[in-house]
Amino acid sequence: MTPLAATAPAPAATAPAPRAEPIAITGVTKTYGLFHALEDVNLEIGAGEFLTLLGPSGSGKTTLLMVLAGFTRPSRGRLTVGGTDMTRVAPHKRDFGMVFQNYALFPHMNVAANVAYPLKLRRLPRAQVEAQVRRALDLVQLSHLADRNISALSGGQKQRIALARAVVFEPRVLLMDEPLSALDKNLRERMQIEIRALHDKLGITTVYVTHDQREALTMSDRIVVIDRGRVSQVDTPRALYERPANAFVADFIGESTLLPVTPGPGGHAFEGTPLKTSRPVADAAFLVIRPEKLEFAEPGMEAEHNLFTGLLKSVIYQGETLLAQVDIGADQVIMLRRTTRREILARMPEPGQRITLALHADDTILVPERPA
Amino acid sequence: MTAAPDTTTRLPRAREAEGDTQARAREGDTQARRIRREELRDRLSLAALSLPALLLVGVLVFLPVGWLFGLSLVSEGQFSFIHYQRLLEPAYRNIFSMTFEISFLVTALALLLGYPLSYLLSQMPPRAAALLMILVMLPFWTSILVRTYAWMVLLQRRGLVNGWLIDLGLIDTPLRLVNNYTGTVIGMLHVMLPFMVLPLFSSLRAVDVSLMRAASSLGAGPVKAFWTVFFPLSLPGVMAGSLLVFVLCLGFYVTPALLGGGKVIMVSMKIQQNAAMYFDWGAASALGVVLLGVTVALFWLLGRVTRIERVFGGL
Repeated sequence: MTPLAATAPAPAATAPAPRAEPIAITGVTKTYGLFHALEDVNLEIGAGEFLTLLGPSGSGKTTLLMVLAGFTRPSRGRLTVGGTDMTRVAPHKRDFGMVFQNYALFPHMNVAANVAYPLKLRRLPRAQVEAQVRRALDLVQLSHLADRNISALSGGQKQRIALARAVVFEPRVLLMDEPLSALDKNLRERMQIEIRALHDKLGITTVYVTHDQREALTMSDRIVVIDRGRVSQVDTPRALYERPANAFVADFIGESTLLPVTPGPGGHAFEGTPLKTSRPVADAAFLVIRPEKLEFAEPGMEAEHNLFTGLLKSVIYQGETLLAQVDIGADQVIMLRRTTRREILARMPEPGQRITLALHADDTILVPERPA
Repeated sequence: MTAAPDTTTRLPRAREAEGDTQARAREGDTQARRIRREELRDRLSLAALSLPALLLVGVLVFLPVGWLFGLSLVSEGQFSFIHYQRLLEPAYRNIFSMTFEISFLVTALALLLGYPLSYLLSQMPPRAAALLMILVMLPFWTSILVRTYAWMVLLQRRGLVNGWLIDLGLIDTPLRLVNNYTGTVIGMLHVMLPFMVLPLFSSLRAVDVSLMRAASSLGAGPVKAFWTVFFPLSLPGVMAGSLLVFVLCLGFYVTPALLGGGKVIMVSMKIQQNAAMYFDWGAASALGVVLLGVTVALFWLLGRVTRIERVFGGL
């Protein structure tokens, strides 16, 4: 079991707030001339769910978010929120909170005025505006910065204010467009946990866009992998990592080596050797090897493991783990990742030696080709 | 807008020097002195580089202005305030109020026409915007004199404009469009429009689109989003364009002289009259000094209400 999957937040851990509403996307297509930015996207997002749209740049994940926000009108398809059709509703009438990649805070207003902006538009009484602004700023732990100018805030603070502004009017849905991509790694990781905690507290249905697969795995109830405008797989982080639906997902999520396999009488085989797997796939084209699932072969392992023998090419020390490259012939190099615990370091063979690696049948993942 | 580079490089070095233990204090001291000396040398060499430009500005700007100022304080070979005292007479007061009135009107009209145009340009794809910008700039590259004569032809009693208006049945008798106040304003507005559009356009283009999207997502309709977000952020451009146009209008000569038909007397025309007809250099200089003073005062005022470098940062 991967540590990531173990600590991933359980879906619907908290009771959804009364405001949480489900979203349904049906047959959404967006074309620009001949280019299909989105092709027949169908998604059901549960009330209070934290759903992440994940894909490489240009895959269409941001287009899908813009369709949700109302800034892009789909060429075909429907969007409903809480049962009401929102497809043609103007963005400012949707009542969706949105956090932008570059924060999009109003530079001519101070922090409090930024957060109060949506409330003033709704003509709430002054006392209520003040109370709600204070509560929103408390939520992101920045009430002491209420009178600050936007230019006097750090990147992390700006992101939190943007978040406070997006949730202060209790929106029906919260949309986030790569909100952490401008922050440095440490801050980003802290904010991931903070945003997820905020989501659990508010229970608001959230759609989050990122191209960072680790961020998606850390934060989401479910992840939608988007490949060239189409939904490739929708699953929980653990299912996505351990049971990728095709070669694209396997390659995009986590580290992996893809080895071509051929069908045979005893199941699929790599280089003529039939593979033991607990999850056979009828139209398999590749074997997916996750570097951390491999171990050094020991006698008697061949009953439950697939064995790979090869030449150890290099060992790279990366702090918490070692990354090794093993040339198993047939122009294939597989990666092996081991923790830098004392006993493992002591056992690690030298480059140039021949070693045999074992992959358990449960970890032997077979996937079909990337859909055309 | 960028921080002075010397402070960022100095800080760690200075701290290094301060952080030394007492035993190494003297060594640190000499090191700190050396750093200070290097910095001084850096600054001096920078100053030396800008010296030719400073000299040029000094000779070409400050010398003539000083000369002008001196001339305005001399009458019949003696130091005197007589030229300034005469500016308080009603005739001069009228000229000044006319100049300010026309400049204000032209600035306001240029803003009214220039803002929507700049907004349109700023929202267009860059290539199309550049193409339209050429159309805006086209009159800018034509001689003012030629343009002014063109307006005289267009606006005269039996000119193109009156002809069209009559043909369209909008009026029965030709309007008096030239050789008066109206003609002056039309002609000046035409000349001034590019000066309004250029700074406005760059300032409007700099407004981040995602801010408008953010306003929209927070519940603001297009009109509300424009007035609460876009317009306030475009104010530096509005200030820059207005100031530029107003100051240029204050000293404008050719167009009011030709299109005003002698009915619109502006300060610049009075200066020309004093200098060329009466050879009264003192009076002309005094008028020039007052115009300069007003311009400087306007910049100072603008500096009080906004950060001036932000106003012209977009230029």
